[in-house]
Amino acid sequence: MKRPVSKWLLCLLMFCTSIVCLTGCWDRQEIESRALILGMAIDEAPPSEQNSDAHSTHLSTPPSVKNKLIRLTAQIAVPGRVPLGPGTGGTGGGGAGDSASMPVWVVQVVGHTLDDALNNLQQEIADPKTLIHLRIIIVSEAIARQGLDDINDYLRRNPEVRRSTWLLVSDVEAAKFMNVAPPLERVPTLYLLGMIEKSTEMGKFPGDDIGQYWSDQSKWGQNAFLPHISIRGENNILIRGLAYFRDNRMIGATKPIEIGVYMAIKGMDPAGYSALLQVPPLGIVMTSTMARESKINVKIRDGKPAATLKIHLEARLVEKEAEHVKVSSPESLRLVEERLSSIVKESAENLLTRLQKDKSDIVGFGEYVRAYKSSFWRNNIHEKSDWEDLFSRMPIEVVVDSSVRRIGLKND
Amino acid sequence: MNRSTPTGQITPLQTQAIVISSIVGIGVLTFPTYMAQAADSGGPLVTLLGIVFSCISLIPLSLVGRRFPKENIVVYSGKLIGKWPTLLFCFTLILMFLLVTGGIVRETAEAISLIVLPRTPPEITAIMLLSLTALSARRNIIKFSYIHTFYLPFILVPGLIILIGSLRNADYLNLLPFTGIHPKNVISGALTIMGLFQVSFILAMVIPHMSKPQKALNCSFWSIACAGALYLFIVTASTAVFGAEEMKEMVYPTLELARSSSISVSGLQRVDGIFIIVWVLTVFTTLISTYYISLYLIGRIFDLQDHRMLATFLIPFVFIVSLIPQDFFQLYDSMNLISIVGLCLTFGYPLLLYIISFIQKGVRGNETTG
Amino acid sequence: MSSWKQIFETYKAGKHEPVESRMTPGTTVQLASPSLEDKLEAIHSFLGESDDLIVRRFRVFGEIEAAAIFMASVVDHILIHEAILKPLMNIPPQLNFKVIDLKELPDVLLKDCLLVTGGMKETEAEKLLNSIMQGSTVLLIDGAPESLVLQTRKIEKRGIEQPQTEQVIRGAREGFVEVLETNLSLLRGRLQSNDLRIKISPIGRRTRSRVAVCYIEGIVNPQLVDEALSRLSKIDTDAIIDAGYIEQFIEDHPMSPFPQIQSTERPDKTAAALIEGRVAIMVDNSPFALIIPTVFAQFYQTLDDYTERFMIASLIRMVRLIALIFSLITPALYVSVISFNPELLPTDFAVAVAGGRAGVPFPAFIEVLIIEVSMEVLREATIRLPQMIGGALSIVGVLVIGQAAVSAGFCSPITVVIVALTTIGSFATPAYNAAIALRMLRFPLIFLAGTFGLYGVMIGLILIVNHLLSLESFGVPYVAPIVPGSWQGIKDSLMRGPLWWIPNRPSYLHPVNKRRQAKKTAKSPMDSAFKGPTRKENP
Repeated sequence: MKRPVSKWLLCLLMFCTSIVCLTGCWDRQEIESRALILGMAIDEAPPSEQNSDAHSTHLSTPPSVKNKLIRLTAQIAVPGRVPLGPGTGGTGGGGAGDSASMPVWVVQVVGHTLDDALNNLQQEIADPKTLIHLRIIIVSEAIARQGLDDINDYLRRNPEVRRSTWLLVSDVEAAKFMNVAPPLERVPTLYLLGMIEKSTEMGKFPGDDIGQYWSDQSKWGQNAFLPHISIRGENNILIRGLAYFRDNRMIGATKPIEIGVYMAIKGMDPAGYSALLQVPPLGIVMTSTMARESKINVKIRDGKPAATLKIHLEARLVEKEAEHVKVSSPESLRLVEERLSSIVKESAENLLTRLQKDKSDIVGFGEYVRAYKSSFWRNNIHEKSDWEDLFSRMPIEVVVDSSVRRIGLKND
Repeated sequence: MNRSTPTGQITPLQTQAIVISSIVGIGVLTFPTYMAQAADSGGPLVTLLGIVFSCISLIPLSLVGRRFPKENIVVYSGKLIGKWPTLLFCFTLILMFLLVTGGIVRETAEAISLIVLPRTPPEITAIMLLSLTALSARRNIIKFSYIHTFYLPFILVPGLIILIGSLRNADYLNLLPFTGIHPKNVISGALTIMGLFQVSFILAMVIPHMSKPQKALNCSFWSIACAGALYLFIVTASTAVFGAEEMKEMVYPTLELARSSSISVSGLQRVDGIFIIVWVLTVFTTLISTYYISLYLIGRIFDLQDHRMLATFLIPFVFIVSLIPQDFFQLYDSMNLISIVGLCLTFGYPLLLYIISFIQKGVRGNETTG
Repeated sequence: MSSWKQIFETYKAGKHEPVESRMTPGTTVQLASPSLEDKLEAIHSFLGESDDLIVRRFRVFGEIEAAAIFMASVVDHILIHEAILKPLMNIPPQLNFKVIDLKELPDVLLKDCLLVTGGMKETEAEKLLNSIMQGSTVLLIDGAPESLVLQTRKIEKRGIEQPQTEQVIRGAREGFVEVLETNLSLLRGRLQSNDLRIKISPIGRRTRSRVAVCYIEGIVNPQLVDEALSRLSKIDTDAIIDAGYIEQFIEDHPMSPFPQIQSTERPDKTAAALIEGRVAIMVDNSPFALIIPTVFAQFYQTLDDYTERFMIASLIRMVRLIALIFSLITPALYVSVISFNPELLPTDFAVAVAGGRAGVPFPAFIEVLIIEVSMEVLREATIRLPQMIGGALSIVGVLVIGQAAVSAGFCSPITVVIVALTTIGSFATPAYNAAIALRMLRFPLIFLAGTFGLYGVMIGLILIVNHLLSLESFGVPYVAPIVPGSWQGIKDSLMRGPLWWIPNRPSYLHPVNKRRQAKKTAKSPMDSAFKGPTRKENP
């Protein structure tokens, strides 16, 4: 009979293949036996450290990378030290209640490229490394200025790396960040991560994770930027501004308030920066921005692009330094508004001039040209540097308008 | 228990479910890259073009099927163009769909190997998927339609949720200009889409068993429209979130889209777990359709009562086909080639049949069951 | 009564033949001799070896020799002497001076004297023997060829109690008992319709258990009744001890883990099912009624859903569905996330989970299997314990053993939580047989998850769902009403639509009479009040 034979044969086929599966669950890797790399710091290493090269990927160094050595500092989560649940210790192993010891393990290796360094790392640690929970990568400014091409290439190809990882540029040695142990958080990398993410939520920083960086990097009409950070004191991390790039190389950095200006130019919400203003009749006041809007228009004038930037800010009065002067009428609010607008316009123009000098269009005016004036783009721009040149010469008109509507709970 | 194929029981809604869930398959993962390569930010427009072309290419099939409502394609094709040309066409179709099945299995195994199970041999993944397909393709067409009808909401709803969650990072500028800066390969892009949609040929197998065959044309429009809407949404979301230039460098843009999607600001990260689950489901529904087309045609040519033994015996052949491409690039090149050939067949053959049936106006279908 | 020694001697010397072989095969033995002694001897030769057979000789009307034969253990003795012996020993006044031919005597007795409700004349030996076994009294009269069979059956039974396996919050507190007549009375008491048909016949050669098939003519699809009766007629076995035996003989897919026939102890549920257009099968000596056909949706629905208001009922139904799904996939998902795809966990949680698992010696897969198997053993053990010990043991088992296992480093705390969730989920499923099916299917899923991770879970789930999609129960697809889609059915499957929204019976049963509710049944009494008194409602 046809029926039992075919069913029986199928069962036999499946049985044989399932015997093959007895050779092992190939991918089974228990979570506690993986080395979860939570954060990495990449620095330049002086050639003198050549000796510590573990030679795990090559016998003799090819000449083109001989003098190029990076030092990788990785922060690996130690299972057993981070307790499950509030405060109480975990089961078996691991010092519960030993708050002095960090629940992470910091390992340093050198290598010629990123993957080379990671392989050297693997030689030194027992558990298989995994990048699935890599959240922060810190690169020193020196490396950023040399170029991030190779690092980005590795990260892009690796399927374990998420696009929501943060890539940060530090002005001091990046490895120092791996040892920062603030009291508020059990795992330092997560503290760093929390800091960046919460500043994004508070409106102090644009959401610029590595995925966004890569997207901006690929676009012809835009240049990418990354957060620029530094350490203050022993354990405090400071966001110093934006590090702007051209062609995967860092060109320059901004100040923190200029982050706010940048976000105002792009019209990003939520808004979180405050401005210290000197308003002549009222003295020193401080306003806090609540919302931002911006409109960018590009036109082609005489065969060249020109942009108009209109910014609108909603702000709120938060502090008035001089006690004897009263802010008690709409006119005084108008004065504050005018001053705020002029300060922002000045800062924006300064920032844009600097960017134009460095030929780094992090605002993305090129994208607007590409989107709205596509025929111009098609005819004139044949590679990314064409736009960078055009941008450096582009006249940009900035118009800022702000509204201060609220004064808080005090009525003068 | 009644094992022979019952007729006239598939409702139009179920027909649409079959076609939609067959179309939404492995191509979902990689096609935005091709669209970006075809026309930069004009990717969505190219997709739309491809969808419209697919709609048009399904028309001859629905019309000729409607003309012979109770007969399957082998029978009425035999009446229209004779026995030997029918056999020639059908054998080519069978071979083509078997190759397509093997190709899809290979692509899926490769993707799973990369993303989910790096150390598992891809052959094992492929065998598991093939065994699942074989077990499910053994059933008659009514149960086949149940499978598609049941899984369709599980494919569409999570897909939509993931897509909507990814719009958080979308930038309107990336979609402009609508026609793209350098639309070099619009036609080849549209053909790629048509190649992905050619599984809609399954409609030919379903029409003889429909309860309302006169609605076949309606069904075909709506199903291509619905599947096309999903594809359009995917390519628009990808282009908006990443930008065309970035997408040209990505291998699996939809996966990255799912990875970057988040439902709320801080919660439910890594929605790509759900994505993998849903994606295995979509691939499965496509696979049983392509496999079923071949089995059905062979069954009808040789007049078998049911194709269960056939379903088992063809598995090794398909498995070997899936092992043939040597590397990533060979795989995608050969799949492109097969889909071009397939397009000619799945469009040209029904068109030929329809034209001839028009000419031979006297030849109409009888009420015999297929 | 003979002594044991005598019984032993007789047994050793006797030939041990079943009754059937003493009758000539192929012929129907007739007990038609007018002589009383002949008939008595014949019956004695068939049934004499049991000591509870009683032969009561007496004289009808003081003149005619007669004997009443019955089995002492299954008859109502009071009925026998009140309704049979007493009236026969005295001549009733209307027959006092009549001359009656002996051959007509059985007829006269039946119509004029005997007070028993069920009585008929019989000559076939096999039928007489069967009726004695069933508790009837056979009346043999000297001189009359026909014998009388009088129904005097009385079997001890327990009182009607609340059903143990299906407790509801709001609903009747009656459950079926083991006696078919009582069960049928419970059913008929609820369905006082002219169209309720009950067909009774025995199945099983030795047990001869009476099986009743109930349906409502004019609602039920005739093909369904056809199919049910034909399958019942094909059963040929010795014993039907419980309704479960019948279920296993007539189900469509014996090899499937999912039950295709629903069994219930509640008469109200059976009555509701009959009204929807289903068929109920009840078996003597079993408190469970079988309801056919069955669809998967019935396994997470209870009677409570319909007696409560629709919003509450819908939410609770969804909770049950979630519990059902939990009980199937939670351990598999846990294993696959921990061992294969930890990237799906949020980072801080992932690090903490790794911490929780740090001291455990086994991989997650083995650990989950060990705990799951222990849980199954524990559950099986608590079923057989008496109530008082059972309650304490469950608390002891879960809390103490679980906590102790975690402290000993034997398993991680998350595993205990996962397994506890799974177990509780399976208890929330109202239908015991469906819950077992899902419990069983958990294990292959855990294996697949432990070998291939999330991909394996997906393949396993697709296999299970495909299997469900191909099951049929008496011609009805198992996954109806979701597939093939029927809006009417969906209103009552995932949620419980309000009663006024579901006026039709389920379409997948193809009932002859589709409507169960008037079209203009108002949603609320206020509706009809405001629409004015002139509005007539269709009956």
